[in-house]
Amino acid sequence: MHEDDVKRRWQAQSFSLPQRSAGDLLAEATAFQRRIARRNLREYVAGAVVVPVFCFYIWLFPYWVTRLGSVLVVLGTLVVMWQLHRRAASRVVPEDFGVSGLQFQRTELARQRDALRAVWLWYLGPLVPGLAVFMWGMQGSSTKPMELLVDLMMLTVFAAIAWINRRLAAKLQRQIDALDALAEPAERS
Amino acid sequence: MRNHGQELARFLRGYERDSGRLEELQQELLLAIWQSLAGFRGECSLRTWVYRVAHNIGASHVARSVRRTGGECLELEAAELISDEQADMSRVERNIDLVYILTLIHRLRPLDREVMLLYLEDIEAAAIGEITGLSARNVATKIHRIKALLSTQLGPRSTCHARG
Repeated sequence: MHEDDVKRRWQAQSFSLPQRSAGDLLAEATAFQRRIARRNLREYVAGAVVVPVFCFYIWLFPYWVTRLGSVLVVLGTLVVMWQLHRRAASRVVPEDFGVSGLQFQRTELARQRDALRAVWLWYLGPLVPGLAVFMWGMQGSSTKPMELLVDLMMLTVFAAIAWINRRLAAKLQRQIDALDALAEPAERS
Repeated sequence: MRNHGQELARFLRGYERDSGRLEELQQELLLAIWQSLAGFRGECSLRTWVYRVAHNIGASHVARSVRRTGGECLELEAAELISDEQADMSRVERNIDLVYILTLIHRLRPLDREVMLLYLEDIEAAAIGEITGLSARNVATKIHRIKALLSTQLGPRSTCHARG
């Protein structure tokens, strides 16, 4: 029997996997960070619009409840911007994209997932008190049907934002689960 | 990939014959390795790690293929019987015929073909156990059967010439 010959000839077969350069992998991770940076830029721009508008409202509206609501919205928006930077800022991908770079990518997925999961806490939560007080100041105690509709729309938007972000977080979690599952020993047949 | 690309390419050929689907499988493996390496913490060798990923990818691929085509896989024991039935086939023709070996591998159950592919790559039994999740005893039994299968298939005295 020539087992070794079989093995030797088997191993002498020369095949190769498709080339996937470190540059390609680096590009994919960089694209992910660019998407994060673009998303954050949109949020910062929105914040840069909201803050001066509600500062103007503080000056514009005479009723103290409305003015208080405006102050709270401005403060809430600043909290959101700070939290966005703290929890979900984009990061620079390591140039030497080896195993440590891959670890970096996984950590980033988990960090963005956590930020999306807690969006109700740091993104929606800080805005709720200000908007509630502002609307109260604007509408008073006897709410008209149209004003109720506006309130309902606002609640719907908030609920939709929370739901969409939960779904995005779940999507990232599935990617992370798939990575972890790959490391598990295969099922015995 | 520089270190293990060739052997992984051979390994995947044990899971898919069609060149188009093989290329897709290779891409799938590369992506899976890239993603899974983020969780690599050096608890086993890098070679074992990438084979473990390849094992999962290959096993899933075979399961999908079997569902799609309704084909059946053979136990090692059954493969030995087929060898006996075909004993009149020229051993000179079959001797260390890599195409023939590959055909045989493709007929085996996923875990059996896995062990055979790893055995052909000279992976140690302990590492085969780590990759496949089989016990050391189970690996030893399967390797014993693989040796018997190769012996029956290739014969003891033939000369060596490859066609693949």
